[in-house]
Amino acid sequence: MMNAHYPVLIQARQIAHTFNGTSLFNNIDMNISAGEYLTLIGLNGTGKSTLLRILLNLIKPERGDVLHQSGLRIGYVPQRWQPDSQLPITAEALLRLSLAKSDTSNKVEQLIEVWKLNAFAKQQIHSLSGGQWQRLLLARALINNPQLLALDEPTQGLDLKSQHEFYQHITQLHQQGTSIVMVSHDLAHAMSYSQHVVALSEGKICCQGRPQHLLENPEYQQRFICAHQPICLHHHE
Amino acid sequence: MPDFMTLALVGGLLITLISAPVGTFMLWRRMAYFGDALAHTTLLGLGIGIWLQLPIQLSLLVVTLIVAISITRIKLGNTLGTDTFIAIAAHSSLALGMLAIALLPAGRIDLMGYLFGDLLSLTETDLLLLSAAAAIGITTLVYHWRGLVMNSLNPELAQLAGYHNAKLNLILAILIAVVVAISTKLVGALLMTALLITPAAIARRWSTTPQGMIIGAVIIGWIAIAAGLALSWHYDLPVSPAIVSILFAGFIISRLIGKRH
Repeated sequence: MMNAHYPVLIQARQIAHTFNGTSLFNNIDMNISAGEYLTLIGLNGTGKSTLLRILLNLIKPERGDVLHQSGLRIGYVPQRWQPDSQLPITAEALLRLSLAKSDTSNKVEQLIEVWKLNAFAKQQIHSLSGGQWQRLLLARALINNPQLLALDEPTQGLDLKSQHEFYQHITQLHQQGTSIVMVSHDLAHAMSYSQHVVALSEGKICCQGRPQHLLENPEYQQRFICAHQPICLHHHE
Repeated sequence: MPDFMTLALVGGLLITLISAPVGTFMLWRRMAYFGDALAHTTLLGLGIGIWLQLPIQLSLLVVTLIVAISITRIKLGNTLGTDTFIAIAAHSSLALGMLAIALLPAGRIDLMGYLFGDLLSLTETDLLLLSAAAAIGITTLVYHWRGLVMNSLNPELAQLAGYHNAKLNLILAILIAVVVAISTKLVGALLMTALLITPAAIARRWSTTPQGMIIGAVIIGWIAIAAGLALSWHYDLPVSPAIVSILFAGFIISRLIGKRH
């Protein structure tokens, strides 16, 4: 695994999990180290999101252990969280609610400034556009200075311009020292931005490594094509 | 104003002080059915209380707490949904309660009073009980405010922020059980959910903050209680249905003229 000389933030050993009685994955071993930009890829239904949530200790796996570095601060952008209009709350109030109770800094104002949330900070969260909501979720995830930022299909539903801006933000955060773990079915993104790609297929990690390494190595390429058959077949037509 | 009307008014205002905030959380978390189910189980509490000669408020509280905690904690696996379990628990309790009451000598219980409540039968002891419940309930909500709101918005984000979701869910379930148990005598099992949910649903129309919605729900509940009592006094109508009808009218008006936030 990459970054062997960096501290391990999350260590998962022998993870096995089922969904509705069907085995989702078996004996998965995975580390997430400090400084990493890791993308988890795979076809729909391969359990990428479930694996991410297991890694974050949001779901307890049926077998195996997930260990976090002591005091690890995680920022999380969940998949498809559509804000519920039943609960009235503004974008700014959501940030304030997410700030640790003991934190008396002006972090909320800073985030609004840095992430350009001014235009909609006073708006109700359920009235935001897809791009505004995603930007708010990212700012929210960063509010307690996370060491690891976990993103689950963060650009789903965004137009190309917003996607590009989003990835630029993530790259910038990575350069500033935040570790990134992302679930994506966007092969182009995984190859262009991340340092390390892990591909899930048929309940196991079918291949992993640096994007360049995956692309150049015929054996890896073959396995990678297996994991992303529809995309790659289309690509080769 | 006669003493019993004063007691009814103060009691109604005290109930609303805790039922409206709890009802607002129920609305945010789509738990209306949970409240309704607990209201059904109070009939079993009534039956058990009469058979064992326990104070009725105590037996209602014990039964609603047992059912609320069981529903919240039970893990049914993949084959049965929680709503199925809630429905079975609610209606089985109702059936068992009906059997217990049917076996009593005739005239031992005022079933209509139980189903529709009787705010006018409030005693000073009831007021003390309501004051204690309201004080404890509000303190609990204020103390766990951030966790409960975050958990209502997104349980996973609440968990990552260090809140204990199972504990928060249990606290809310216990508060709902307490509100249902102490209010059954006053507003009745059948109308309980309306008193919990409708003020919050009306307040939603004008609210821009979670705190504002709760305060709005309390004020709307207070208006409905006062207006319902006045209506009942002047036109000799049953109190609880008058209150719930006023809330319903308020809900319709809020849908027609309210500003949507």
